Amino acid sequence: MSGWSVAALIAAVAAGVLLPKATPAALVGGRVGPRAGRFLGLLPAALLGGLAVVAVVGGGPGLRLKPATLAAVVAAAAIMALTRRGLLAMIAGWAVLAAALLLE
Amino acid sequence: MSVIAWSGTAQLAAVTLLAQPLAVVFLSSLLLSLRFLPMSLALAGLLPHAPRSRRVVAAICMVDTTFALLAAGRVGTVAAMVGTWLAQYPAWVAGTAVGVLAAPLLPARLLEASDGLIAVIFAVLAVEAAAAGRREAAVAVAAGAGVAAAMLVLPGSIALPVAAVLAGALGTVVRR
Repeated sequence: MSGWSVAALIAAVAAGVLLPKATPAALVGGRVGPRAGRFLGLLPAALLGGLAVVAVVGGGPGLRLKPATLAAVVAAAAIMALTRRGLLAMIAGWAVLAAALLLE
Repeated sequence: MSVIAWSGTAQLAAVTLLAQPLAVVFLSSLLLSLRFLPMSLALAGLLPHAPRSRRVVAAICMVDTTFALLAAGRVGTVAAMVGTWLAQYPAWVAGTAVGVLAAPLLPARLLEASDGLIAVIFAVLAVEAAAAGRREAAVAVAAGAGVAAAMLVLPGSIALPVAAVLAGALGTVVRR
């Protein structure tokens, strides 16, 4: 591939990434209606719940459950729910992950 | 590519599409980045006092982890988002370069562990966001279940925005 081809390829990837990132932020104004505001307020929790699932089951299509990852995520989520201490929950989850991978 | 295109998924796809026309590369990259649409939309609620131009800057700096930190309330301003980007960017570029050189030498188990490390972070931040209230918790669980169901037939990059928007909309219209 020539230098120009590589540059064009990088530009095409960058455009595909930047468009969905920047367009909604550029289009939505500062003031939104109450219903839209409620929707926007719920989106972060929805996205985080979804991101956690994607991280556990892989990129798809199809679910590839890894027992070690699942055990770590369940442990971390349970500790977070019980203690509300994020760092403690992450360290516990990583410890479970390391232990599960060593035992496999 | 890592220096300009701030998305691992799109980059990985581009590597497999080197021989394809540019339009195919662009469309593939766009489809794989659709999850950023609702994230960027949510910036209006998460950064309500930031001017639109600054929200665009925040959106450009955004990746999954940056959004997760913002959504969980760990960062709360555009400057902090740019700060997280500045912290991640050198590691991102250096990590890609090191990965290209060292990946064949690393054991597969270590690479598998890296996915698990990130999954733990997202799970903790999801619980933190869900703890804001019953409605948030219900929406997070519904979105997670929706993503899992949709991923039986769709890739995660499409299942995530679809399920998150549907769960958010459902949470908005359901009264109790």
